[in-house]
Order: sequence, then structure tokens, then C-alpha cells
Amino acid sequence: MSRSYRISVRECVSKMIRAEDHVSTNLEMLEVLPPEQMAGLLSDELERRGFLREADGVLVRRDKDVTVTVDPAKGTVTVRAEAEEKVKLEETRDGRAFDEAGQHAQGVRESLRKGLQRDLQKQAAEKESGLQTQVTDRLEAQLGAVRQELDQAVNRVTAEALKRKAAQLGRIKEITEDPQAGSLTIVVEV
Amino acid sequence: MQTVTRFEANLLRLLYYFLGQEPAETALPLVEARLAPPPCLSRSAVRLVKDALAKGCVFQLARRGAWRVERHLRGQRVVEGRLWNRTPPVELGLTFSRQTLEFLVWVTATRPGDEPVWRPLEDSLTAGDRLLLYFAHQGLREAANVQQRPFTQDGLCRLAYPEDYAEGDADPNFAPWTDGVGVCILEALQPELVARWIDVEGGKSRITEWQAMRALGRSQERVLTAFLDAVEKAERLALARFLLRAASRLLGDHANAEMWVGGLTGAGPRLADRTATYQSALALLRQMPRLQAWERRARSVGYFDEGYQASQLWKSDWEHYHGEALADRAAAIIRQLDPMRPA
Repeated sequence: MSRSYRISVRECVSKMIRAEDHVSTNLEMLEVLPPEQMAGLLSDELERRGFLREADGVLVRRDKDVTVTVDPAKGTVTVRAEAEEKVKLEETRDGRAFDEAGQHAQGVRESLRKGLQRDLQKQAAEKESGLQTQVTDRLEAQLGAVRQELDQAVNRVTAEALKRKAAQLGRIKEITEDPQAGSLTIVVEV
Repeated sequence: MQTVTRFEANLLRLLYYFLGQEPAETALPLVEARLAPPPCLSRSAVRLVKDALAKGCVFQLARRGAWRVERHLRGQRVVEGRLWNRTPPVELGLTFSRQTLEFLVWVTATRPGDEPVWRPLEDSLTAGDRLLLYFAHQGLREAANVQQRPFTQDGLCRLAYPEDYAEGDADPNFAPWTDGVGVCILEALQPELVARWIDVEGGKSRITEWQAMRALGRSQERVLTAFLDAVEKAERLALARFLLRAASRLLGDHANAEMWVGGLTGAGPRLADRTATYQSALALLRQMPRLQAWERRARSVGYFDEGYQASQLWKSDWEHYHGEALADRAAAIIRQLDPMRPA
């Protein structure tokens, strides 16, 4: 009569999973003043809104996992979301062998280990995919607010540029601004 | 009566097929067949090849667009007429080097895609060789894998068939097509290029996989950037007229983003992927600002400035095809697919 032995294998996968997503676009700025002056006005406006100026002139604002980067010289905006998570996956799997430490037991152990590793890698990939979905959703949710804020900033920059342009043309007699309608009327005496 | 060997007969039949004088049904099986090449071709065969090239290439160019009355630059002035009116026929002569014969021997003896791969030196190809390779590419693209030199680097093949070069990173070479008789060939092939770009753009609505759209868009962007760089450098902006013509057909009053991305079942898992997919889908439309910038620059060129005629020619093309309206519609469609600026 033959006996079978229980072979138990335990595997553990520990890894850091990362997810990133970003979207870039160009700001639609009217060239009321020369480009470098428009870039300067935009930088000032964005600093007023909490952006920090970095050494290369790029303005950055970090809000939890979402970073908004504006290059005022090129007029480009990049909104980036990132996340990382440490995952530790552990699993035990049992099998049967005809011997306890012989060739058959070794084969069964090896086969169990390979199967476990494959499953754990699959679980890790699923977790990574889940994290990626979360990051993308988070970025998508933020886009509306970022877009609205940047549109407001561009409008303010355009208004300021128009005032400066008008001042170059002559003496400003009257400025009427309707923030709700988004209109600006400047009366200039030339 | 001229006698040729079996191999030479196959070679001639393939050549006639490339030049549109033989139906695909009889020629394409010969591409799949492999025959051991002879040490050299007979005098009769070479004579027949020369005759076919001399008559066939000219006939093909005339038929495909050289007959059209067009306006193009000749030196510093604009000349109107058919290709042979714009340029004296003596200057339109095509030369064929030994590379043409080597290619014909190779394509008869080896199935394209098999080893040994025919790889001529890029600089050793004449305008005639390149034109024949273009015709051969058209003939072979349905039948065999042609993802190899010189096809992969040839600017004209890449410009007319960007979808065939979705794989690979080789940069297209436009130097031969923006100088000498290459310019005349490109002028003659303008109607064909218009039709090809309309066909490729129209086919995008049937692309369902975002990876395929990305690959096609990358290929289009690479070839268009290289082409526009080359024509700008050579100051032959009118060679890009086919893009305006194609855009005028594609960007009608009712043009909308669905015409480019309507077939996609998904644009990618990440926003970055989706943005890149949409940008790829709109590769042609995204070149409109560059064409518009040429027009803006043309406006500032004065009568006594250098390049006045060339500038005026592009300006008149831009106006003729309602470039401003096309650029506006292209910008609106690009905006429609910008995740930061939804419609």
C-alpha cells in the first residue's frame, strides 16, 4: 500500500507598483503684446493663483497627487497625476507527492511554486491596472477645474494686456469691465 | 522576333506590370515564384527593359498628372502649363542606373521579404530608379512584404503610402524629390497624392483599434514633418499643394471629429494614450497651422524681396483652396478632441 505526502508551498511577492497619467495642451493666448510680455503677465497671474516659479521659468502647482505645470514661454500646460503603492501578496498552495523529499516531491514543489508565482504576478498586474484606473479617474475629475481656472487666468492676462496696449496707444479715459459677461471696454484718447 | 529566356520573360512581365501594361493576375504569381538568376541578362532582354522604361515611365507620369495645366515655380518665376510646357522636355529626361536592372533581377529571383534583401546605397539611386521603385511599391504592396530598403527610406513611397510604414523608425529621405527632375515627378504625381491622402484619412473612420491608429498617425506625422521640412528648405512650397487639395475635400462644412475617430472602440486606457491616439488620428489636420504660417510669412514678402514669386504662389494656393476656413475647421476638430477643451 502506498502513501501520499502533502507538499505545501508558500510564496510571497512584494513590490512597489506605480501608475502615472498626464495630459498636455496649449493655452490659447491672443498676441496682444509681444510673446515675452504675455508670458510675463501669465507668470504673474499664475503665481497669484498659487503656482510656484521654478528655476527654468516653468510654473508648477502640486495638489496631492496631481501636478499642474505651465510653461508660459511656450504656452503649454501639462496636468499629471501619479500614485504608487506597496503591495505584498502571499499565498500558500498544497499538493500531493508519492515521496516526502524525493524526486517526485521536488517536481510537485517546483510545479506548485511556478503556478503560485504566475498567479501572484497576475494579481500584482491586476492591482497595478486598478491603481492606473484610479489615477486616470482622478486626473479626469481634476481636468474640469484646472481648465476653468486656466481659462480665467488667460482671460485676466488678456484683459491686462489690452489695458497696457491701450495705454501705449494714448490716454485711457475710461475702462468698463463686466466680469460676468467677460467683456472689457476701454475708451482711449489718442 | 526577339528571344529571351524564361527568367528574362518573367522579369519583363513584372516590369510591364509595374508600368501598368500587364494585369496583376498574370504578374503577381511571378512575384511568389523563385527562379535562379542568370549570370547576366541577354542583349535582347536589356534592350526590351530600356524600351519599356523609356516609354512606360513617361506614359505613367503623363497619365497620372503631368498632363494637367498647373502653376509651379521655375527658377524665381511662376510658370503655367503642362509639365512639358513648364520644363523643356530635354530637362525632363530620366536616367536609370544599374540599380534598376539589379532590382528587377532581384524581384524576379527572390520573393520580397526573403533573403538576400536587396539593399542599394541610398546615394546610388537615380531619379529614374526611384520612380520605378515607386511604381514597384504600388504593384507589390498588396502581394508581398516590402518593409525594407530602399522602400523604407524612399520619401515618395512613404508620402503616398504612410499606412505601409506604420512599423519602423527609418527617416524618409526627400532630398531627391525636392531637387532636379525629382521635383517634376512630384509635381506630376500631385493628383495621385491627393487621392491617396483622401483615401487614408477616409479610412480612419474604419479603424477600430487605438494602437493601429497610433501607428498610422506616427507614420503620417513623421513623413509629413520630413516632407514639409524638405520643401521649406528647398523653397518649393507648391509641392505641398496636394495637402491643401486633400484638406479642402476632407474639411467640408460638415466635417467633424467622428470622421476621424468614429470607428475607435476605445482610445486607450490612460488619458495620455487617448490624447496621443486623437493626435495621431488628426496628423494631417495638425499640419494646417504650419501651412497657415507659410501664408502669413508670404504676406510679409515684398515685391522686391527674394522669394516674392514663390510666396505669391503659395498665397494664391491658400486663397484658392480657402485655407483660412480649412485651418479654422481643422482647429475646431482638434479642439473637439482635446481632453482639456471638450466641445
